[in-house]
Amino acid sequence: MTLPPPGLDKFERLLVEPLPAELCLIQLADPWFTDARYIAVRNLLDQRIYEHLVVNPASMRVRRVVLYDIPSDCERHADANAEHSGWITALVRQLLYLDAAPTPGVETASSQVDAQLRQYILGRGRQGASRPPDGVFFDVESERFERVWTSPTTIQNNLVPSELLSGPWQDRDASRYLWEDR
Amino acid sequence: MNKRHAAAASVSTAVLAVGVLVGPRTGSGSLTVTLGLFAAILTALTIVLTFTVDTNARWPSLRAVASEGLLEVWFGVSITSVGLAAFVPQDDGNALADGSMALALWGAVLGTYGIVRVLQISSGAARRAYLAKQLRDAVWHEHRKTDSAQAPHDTIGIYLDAFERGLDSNDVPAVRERVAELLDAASDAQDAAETAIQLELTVLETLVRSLLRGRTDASVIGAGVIPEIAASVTRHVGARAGTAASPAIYLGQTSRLLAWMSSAAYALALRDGAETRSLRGAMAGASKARREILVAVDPDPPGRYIPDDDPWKHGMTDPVEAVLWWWAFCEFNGAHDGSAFYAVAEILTGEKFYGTFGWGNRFVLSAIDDRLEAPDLPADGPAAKSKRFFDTVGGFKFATLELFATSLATWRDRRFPVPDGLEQNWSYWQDPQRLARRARLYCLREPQFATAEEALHAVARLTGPWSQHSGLSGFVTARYAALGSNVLPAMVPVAHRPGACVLATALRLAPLDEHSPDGELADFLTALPNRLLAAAHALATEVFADAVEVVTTDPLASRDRQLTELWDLLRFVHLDAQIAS
Repeated sequence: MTLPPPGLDKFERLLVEPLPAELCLIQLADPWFTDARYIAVRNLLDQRIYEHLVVNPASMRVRRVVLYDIPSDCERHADANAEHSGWITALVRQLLYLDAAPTPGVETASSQVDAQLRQYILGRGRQGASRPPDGVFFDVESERFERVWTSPTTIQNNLVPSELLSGPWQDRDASRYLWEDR
Repeated sequence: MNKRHAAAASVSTAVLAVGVLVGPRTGSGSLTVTLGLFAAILTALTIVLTFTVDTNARWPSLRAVASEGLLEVWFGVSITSVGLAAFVPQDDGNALADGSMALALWGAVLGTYGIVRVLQISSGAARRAYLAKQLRDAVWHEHRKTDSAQAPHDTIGIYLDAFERGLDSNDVPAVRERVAELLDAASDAQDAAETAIQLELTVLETLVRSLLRGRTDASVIGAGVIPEIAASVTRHVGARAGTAASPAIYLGQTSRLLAWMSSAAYALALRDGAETRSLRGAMAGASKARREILVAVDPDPPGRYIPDDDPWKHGMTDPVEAVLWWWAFCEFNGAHDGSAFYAVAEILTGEKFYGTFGWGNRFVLSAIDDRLEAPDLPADGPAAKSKRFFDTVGGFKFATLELFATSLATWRDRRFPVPDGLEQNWSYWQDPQRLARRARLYCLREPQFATAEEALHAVARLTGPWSQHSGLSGFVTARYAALGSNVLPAMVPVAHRPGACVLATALRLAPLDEHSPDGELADFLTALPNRLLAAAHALATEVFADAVEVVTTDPLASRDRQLTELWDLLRFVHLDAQIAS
């Protein structure tokens, strides 16, 4: 059974309306990494939230839930997987730049940004596995959101490579590219 | 085969033919003659092949040589003649005897041709032409391959093996021979030019990596062979301009590879104390090759005569192509990137930049921006076309901010002295004023941002999804992806270089006149999240080191310390302030 596509209009509205003080997003459906229209909205929304937090760090609490891994029987799996991985890495990088994710050696205690990302793991990893519907919530304590946020299958991914912060280490030593595989 | 050889062969064949036709027609006679001819040719061929084909080298392969000398045909004809002769009646010849004799004669002619041909391709210009033709045919087949997932054509694999073997044994003459064959093949492969250029890029990359890894230590590889391939790529790209794919990405990839070679050679000499003779050759070669690429791209290169038949007679004319090339040319702190701004100014606007950047407060980027923003631009002119393009990637100022960050991320680490022999490249001069001039090359006449908040928005666009999906960085990365595995080193999106993004933005916010108020810059730095500040501080302590007297600490210094140090380091940009003319 394929999930019905999420209501894109709810997410599109966030692109034009003033951003709320609390914003919770669930984006678990396939179109977020398979459908060009959804991907375009996703990129614009990610940029809007990130930019808002860079300029006004204390102005908004953000909670987001995305898939940990795409379904193994997803159509055009390789492309979808690359799109999904790129998206998740970008989200983690943004949190890191905002001091919203811990990394050894850098002060984060003074960070004013309250933004968190969790990842939902699909049971058996197939399309048919049940997953909560996508949604936009304006209250971090919303019951429906809380259920997904605290679900045992929702994890916090703390694995943050320091390279995301410093830039590619090859930048600092061009000779490192010598050992890259082609 | 020259005329004398042809005459001798004709006479020999005629004598042989007469002998065979008037000779005995008995079964034993026929068998003796056919076997004799077969054995004689076989012996001669064996001797020739023993001395001309190295079975280990595989280039050319024994099979290819045999095919070139028609040896399979000779063998088939000769063995048939011997077989027929075996069935000729013992005492009286018949048609069978005539047939076997005719075949034997034909076999003798073919065998002689094979010997001559194999001797011909054993050395010299004929061998080079033959191998180039083999490679060109393989390139042609590869070009017409419908499934890109298929393995490369056998001959290309064998050629690359032979090339690698030359590198492994540090056999410079062999490497030069392989390169010469490749360049000949590529010159002759107009109908498969794209595949030929890709193969040239693959060989160039292999050569660069081999040089840096110490697989080959001859300085001529860096100083001579590498520029030779780069020049060939430039020529072939020019000759095929106007076809479907973008010529700029080939020139851009070659340019950035050469710049990377210099940076990596510098890093190796500095860090590992590597032997610098070959690395000096690499740096000299990279500088020379990049200059030649720039001359090709420049619509009006200073001091150069460009003949009418030069494929780059008019330089690069398409603004979008020019931007694709410019981006790659500015990566890795490559030589002549400042001069490239002049060529780009002319391509983007149709008019030269008449100032000297850094002198008299002339700013080439501002001059371009002024022309793109001029009212009533002719709709079909280069400036209007450039403006339309830049509008799709956030505007000219923002696109060049991305370019600035990309360049800045790979500037030289100035904390260490330049190793002996590598100082000939202007990029490595120690003069702080040169460093400031270099930074101001990427700046505008007036600060791009009026307030700290504007600058923070810019940092968010550079380091967020925007630059990858809507900015110049994303556009360029997507276009270069057409080169597949030949994009080496991989292109790094500007969002992955947070320190450089912050520094570039700070330098586009800072007043270039040290007497102007700089409160917005202070507010901008203060408002940065810890990690972005730390990334900028870490980069600045490397690339701006010693430009001004600042006592820097380790990258994990406290935030306050980082702020103070970064603020002081950014003062270097005033060092090249000129009096406005």
